[in-house]
Amino acid sequence: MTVEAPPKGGIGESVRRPDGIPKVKGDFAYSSDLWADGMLWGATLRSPHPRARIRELNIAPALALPGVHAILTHEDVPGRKVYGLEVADQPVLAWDQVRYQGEPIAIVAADHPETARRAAARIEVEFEILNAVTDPEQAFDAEPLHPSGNLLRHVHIEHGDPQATAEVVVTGSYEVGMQDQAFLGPESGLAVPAEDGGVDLFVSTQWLHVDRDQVAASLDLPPEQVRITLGGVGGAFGAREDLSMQVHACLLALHTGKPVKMMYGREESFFGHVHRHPARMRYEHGATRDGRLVYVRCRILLDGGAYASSSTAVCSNAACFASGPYEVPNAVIDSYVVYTDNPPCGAMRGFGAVQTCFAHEAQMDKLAAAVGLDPVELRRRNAMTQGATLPTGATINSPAPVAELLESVSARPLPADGAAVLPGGHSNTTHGEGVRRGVGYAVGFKNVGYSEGFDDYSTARVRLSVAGGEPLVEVHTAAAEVGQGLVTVQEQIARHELGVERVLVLPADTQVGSAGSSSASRQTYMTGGAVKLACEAIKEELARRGTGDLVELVGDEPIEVTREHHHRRTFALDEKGQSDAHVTFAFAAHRAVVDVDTELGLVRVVEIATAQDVGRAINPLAVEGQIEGGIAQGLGLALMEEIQVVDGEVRNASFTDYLIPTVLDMPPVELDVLELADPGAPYGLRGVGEPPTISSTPAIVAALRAATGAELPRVPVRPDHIVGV
Amino acid sequence: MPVPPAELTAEYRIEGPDEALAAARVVAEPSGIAREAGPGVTALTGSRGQVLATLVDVVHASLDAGARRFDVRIEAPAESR
Repeated sequence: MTVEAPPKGGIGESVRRPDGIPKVKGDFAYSSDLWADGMLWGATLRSPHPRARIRELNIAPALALPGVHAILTHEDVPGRKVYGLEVADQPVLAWDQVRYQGEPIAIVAADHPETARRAAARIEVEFEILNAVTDPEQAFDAEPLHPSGNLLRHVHIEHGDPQATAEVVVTGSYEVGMQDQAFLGPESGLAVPAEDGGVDLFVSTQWLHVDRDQVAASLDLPPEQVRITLGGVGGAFGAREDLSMQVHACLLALHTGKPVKMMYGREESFFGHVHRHPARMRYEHGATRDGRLVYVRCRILLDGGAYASSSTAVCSNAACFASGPYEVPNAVIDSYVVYTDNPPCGAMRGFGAVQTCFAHEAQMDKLAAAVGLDPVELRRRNAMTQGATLPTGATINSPAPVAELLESVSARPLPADGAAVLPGGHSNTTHGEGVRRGVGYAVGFKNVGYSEGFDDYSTARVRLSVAGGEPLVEVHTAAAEVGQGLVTVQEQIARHELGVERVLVLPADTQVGSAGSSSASRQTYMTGGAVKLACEAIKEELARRGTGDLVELVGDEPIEVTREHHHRRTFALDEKGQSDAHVTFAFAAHRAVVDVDTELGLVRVVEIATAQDVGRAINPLAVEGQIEGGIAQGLGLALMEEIQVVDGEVRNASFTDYLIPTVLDMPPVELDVLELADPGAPYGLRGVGEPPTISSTPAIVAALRAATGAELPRVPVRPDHIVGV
Repeated sequence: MPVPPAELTAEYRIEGPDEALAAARVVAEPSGIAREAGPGVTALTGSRGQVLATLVDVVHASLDAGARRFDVRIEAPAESR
């Protein structure tokens, strides 16, 4: 069968997403809207202390409250009492000690959410408060928080001559604060006990099968008795990779024999998921007098918080991308992640590359100043190209258009002076006196998909049938639509491959093979690739059936095919950080224009120009959305977003005190999308989601430095940093 | 989670005098792969070689120090991981 004229809505078209209008109108059903007749409500008792020993736990006063159906502690976890993405080290419910503020200790099921909350508050816990380890630098020598000590991972990369010297040397120390993913839909789900002794869980998550495996292990059930269906997800950005209420809701449902709904409030959500790792970084760049990089040396320290989550991978990513998208002949990179009693940190959009991009781009600006070059010209002279060797020894085998991206953003006309809105916005805090404009540039890159030997794959089941006299394609995967537009992309690929306009994407669940996580900018690449393979197999079957009208070829014998898409093999880093560890890369460049009130320290980002290579824009409108959203998150890290943690305690667990950019903070985005095909990828596409977040932050801070002359070695930049008080 | 999960996890529980538990800790903790996995339960998580070698050392140390019973459960990651 050949598709003569693909129907409308295939790849390359800006197909509108089905969830867009319902979300804007408030009609979309999120997992927090789930409901079952007779259901109970779950609540969680959490530790108020960052580190304490649990001396006594008395649930009797809570059980006495009318309407309470169950109160469970670690003793009620029938299977594995710990969970974790890479290392199972996090208690489902604490048994002896707590290691961070907000750690779950007990769970309650009651007939009303307020009753459940009050019951949780009635549980009596006698704590022996312990000295919390909250400084990651001191964690190396502090009392171990876990049996094997506080160093979770150290990645050492040695490339070229570790003793290389240079004519020009610049150094700097940089810091990145703890950013929250700040998704709008807090953790929530509904667990329903099943007749077979298992449980059905409807939940917001990023990776259904790994949730299932971890839940099954803790419930001591075979995986097939834990069936997970994706609920409506209100954003993820890495914060739903780890479990939150999944095991808790299932435990309560199985214990009470009733459906149990759990739904965190905004404050609880800040304690219910991991955050971006805070980082301290020390860099040294050496170069020739004409601005050619000779070496990069750096030390990166990431605060992993109380439990491992995906810290070991973040540590590796920070190391692998520490020198930026440049040709660096010599490098020594040491990246460490440690346990502390701070909130656990894990996956967040950009995954280690965000932190190091802020540092290496600040260093490139310092180096440009030291050798008397324009910052763009310095970057252009050192820009990585296809065929370049990374500090890990791997060769870039696909386009690496760093110079082209820089050229694109720097060639754009600058916005006119005299912006309509001044720093301080509509508060009218200035009439323009003391306002200076700055322009800054940054470029970054990151891996797409899983690395270091992970057999990364996704599964798609595609069925072609005839319904109502017309062909119908049904696509079934476990890939989590978290707002990125994946449902639409699957439809587009099926339409493109099979030439059938009517495509139905079934709800994601664990009744089909794993799709991997909606993370690492990988789902269009991996699940899109699996849908493509399954459609191609259907085309082969149609070809075997003959030629002619599609409806007649299918008849009453539907064709159903399941295919897995694996990316090419990658390899673990060796003791010197050498290996072909990553499958492919995505690049972006940003230019920021800012106005700064140098007397009040207020900032208005006037414009962001960006260029990004996406390989192939499967859905140009969705690409634009991802890029603008990613820039908003990068702007947030540059100027306002930080979880304030003092002595292990979170001080701003609300959207009143944890500030995220609003539409009034977002500037116009001037966008240039390059489509340089990756020969190893389906349709040549690359991931889109993360690069906008990586280099937008350093571009904005570079613009602030240009406007003020301040060093600004830390993000988020606060007004007092700008004013210098 | 862009790196593979650990190849093997061995969870163990030791019955015996405090000396046996202490002897096991002396061997397990410096291995870099030991974590608490429940009340009285320790997990060794890492490569097959690391886990099995450490486990054998822990068994020897705890038996030498008077352990009466050593329960161990070894798991490889699920297919979907």
